[in-house]
Amino acid sequence: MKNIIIRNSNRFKSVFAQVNLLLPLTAEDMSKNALLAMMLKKSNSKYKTERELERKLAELYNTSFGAGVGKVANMYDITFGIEILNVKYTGKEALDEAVDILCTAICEPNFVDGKFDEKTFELEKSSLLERIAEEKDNKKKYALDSLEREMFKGTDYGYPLYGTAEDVVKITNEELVKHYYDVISKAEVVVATVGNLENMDGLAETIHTRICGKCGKHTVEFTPLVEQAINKEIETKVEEQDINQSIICIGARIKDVKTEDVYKARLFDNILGGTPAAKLFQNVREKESLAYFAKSMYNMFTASVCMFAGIAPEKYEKAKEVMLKQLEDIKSGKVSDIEFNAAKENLISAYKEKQDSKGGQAKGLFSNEIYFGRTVDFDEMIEEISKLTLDDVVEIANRVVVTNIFLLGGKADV
Amino acid sequence: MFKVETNLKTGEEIYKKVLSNGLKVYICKKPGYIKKVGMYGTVYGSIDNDFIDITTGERLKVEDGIAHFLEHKLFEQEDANALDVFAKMGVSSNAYTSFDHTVYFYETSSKHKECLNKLLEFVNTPYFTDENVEKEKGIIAQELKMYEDEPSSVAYYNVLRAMYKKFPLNVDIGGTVESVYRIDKEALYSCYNTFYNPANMFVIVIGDVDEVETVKQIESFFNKNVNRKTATVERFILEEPKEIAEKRIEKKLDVYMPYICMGFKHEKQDGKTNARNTVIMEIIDDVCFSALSDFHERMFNSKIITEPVEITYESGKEFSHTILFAVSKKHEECEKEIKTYFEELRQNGVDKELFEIAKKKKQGELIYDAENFMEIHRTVIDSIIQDTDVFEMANAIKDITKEDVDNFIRENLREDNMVISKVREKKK
Repeated sequence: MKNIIIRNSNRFKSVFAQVNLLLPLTAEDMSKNALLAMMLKKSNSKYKTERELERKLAELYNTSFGAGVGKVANMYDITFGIEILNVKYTGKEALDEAVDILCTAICEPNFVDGKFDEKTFELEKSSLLERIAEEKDNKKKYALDSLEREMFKGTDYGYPLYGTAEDVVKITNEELVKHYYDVISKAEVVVATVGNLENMDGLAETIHTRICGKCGKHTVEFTPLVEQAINKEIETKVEEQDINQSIICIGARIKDVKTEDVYKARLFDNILGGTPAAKLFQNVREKESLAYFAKSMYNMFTASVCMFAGIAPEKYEKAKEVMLKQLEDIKSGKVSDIEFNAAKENLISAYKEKQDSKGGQAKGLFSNEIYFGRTVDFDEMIEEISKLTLDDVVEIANRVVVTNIFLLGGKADV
Repeated sequence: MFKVETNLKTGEEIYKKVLSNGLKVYICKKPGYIKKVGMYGTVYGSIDNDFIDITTGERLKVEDGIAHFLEHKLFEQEDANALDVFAKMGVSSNAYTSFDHTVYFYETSSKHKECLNKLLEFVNTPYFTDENVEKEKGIIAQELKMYEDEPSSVAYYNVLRAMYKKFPLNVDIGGTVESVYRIDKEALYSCYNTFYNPANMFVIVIGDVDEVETVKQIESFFNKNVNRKTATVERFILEEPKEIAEKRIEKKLDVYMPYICMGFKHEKQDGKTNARNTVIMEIIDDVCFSALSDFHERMFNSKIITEPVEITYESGKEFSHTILFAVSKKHEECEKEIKTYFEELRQNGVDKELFEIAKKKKQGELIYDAENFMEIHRTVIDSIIQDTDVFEMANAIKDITKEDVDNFIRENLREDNMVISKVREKKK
């Protein structure tokens, strides 16, 4: 796996620089990782308050800086990103300052007597608690996250991304400092720079060297797929909420999956629910008028697929029946040439168009480095997809096992 | 055809031509990009519910939500669905309806010419039947239900209801479930024939394309295929009184976080003023409410907010208003602090140093916008609807002074033209 990813194109006017800190995924560290990312984003040794930092970024011609967290199979990813204009618009000094902000945020926290600034710590803790409590307000995301938790219940992966409110409350300042040193002593650092890199040679290497100067160079042992027994019976969970529209999510796992199955799985997912020509859209929405949105999503790191739709509460049984039938139809090869070709063309176009997005490229190429253990560019992905046949799709569909249903809203007879 | 001139050093290249049938065509060149986007739109949205039917010459008032319904139905052709047709080519397509315009578009990496013809073809080929109209009602009803569960959407529509007594901004773009179920194919045809005439429409193409060839392709399509009546649309706009409709609307939903919208009602302005005010408001947002501001730091440190308050200026040919968005568990305190803050701003104006920083930030934004593939379409559509220069807003940036900002706050963000809309938690 490459730890430095560089893509240069003069179609852009700016550069997106992404730093990923990869760590082993453990349930007990989720909240600490999330809180740490929030702390490092807002305050560091040179810019101690968010206000000072944002003013500096604004002066650097609207440079933006952000941090986030994510789960990648058995790894936890803390991502930092900065977006800066090419030097021809701003001059080299501005670039150096922007890079300094990124590296300082990761390498030089705002420590006062060996602890995080106490006020910032308390405020960010409160913010994280609010963020956790607020999750249920985004109904679609909450339903999908809840499905994932059910599917991977009992594993570290199945634990909430930010942890729980109880976990957050328990974190002390000292503990978070200790966790910071823990993170930098074992994180694997990956840097990607994508955009117009003219006269910005060595940017990725400079960032990587500086951060590894603090963190050291480590490798996190990566297992591309979540190893977990697939349950024999479908488990259904209902969470009642007082809402107008119910959201039904059906989760499935792929049995005996290998790394190279990812292309078949993506094409299968696209046929199932990736486009308006897909089975879910055509049948759940257009034919039966059951939903405004009816889609599916494939996660390559967990080899799982979920189908989801927003429905009238009383239509739950009918929607479930129609959605499950689409999966059965693909298993038995009931996929028309039009459905197959539409899904394939769409996937190929999506990979071509990713190259028009700096962030899209950075994220996609980074994910591929982890998943495949080597560089896999979009051209290679396009070539692999192009070779696939309907037999490939039917073959993988017959390894798809529905394991869980999650209904947000109500009216399920369970 | 002419190139839209600008003195901005952002590298934006835009060409414009008005065809003989009145259709406005814009080509926004993006050298080196793989994606190409084609957009075909009409200056017709949810507020256009009272007009002279171009076919009958009679005045017609239609149901709420019909512009949006029409947008859904235009994808359906006699022998296929346009969404399917594009999807089968591996091309994504979509559409949206807003208060004053509707746009149909596709995005493709390789089949642009074919897609452009298909887009023009399907939007010019309405096919409404009793059956297909009936079928759509269930789908749109679910779409409306989806928005009814979103606190931001509910708070936003209620702030418009609180501001506008008569003007149809006080109705959801999609209408209501009841009004949707009353729509029939005859009404759809009346709206289509009137508003989807070339003189009321526009095409925008964005990507690495040849502007001369693209315009030729569009002209050729219309010369061969479209022979519809083209005329200026006559709309009836209810006179909206200066006063607000009601001071406060509150709604309870099953949510954790209360949502606050504060609206300031303004009188309608000409396009140039609206463009300038939009930029002034973006500066106000940066200087007064973003993480740059003392206000944000104070509110965050007091645990009243965790995310920045945002403020934005919205306008069309017949309306303008300002809306502020905030989320806070301590919503009463939040509301009070914001009102006090506006009082201070009216008296003292904005911070001079921050104002200068915000202007520098905006210069950078212009370059990022030029890189942002879709940003340009919003700017172009605004210029069409408000009849302004494409780069009106961008050009306004350098001339705006601190006094302009202070005057705007004093004259437009007052107590008497302010309304509040809140979505609060339902206590269990």
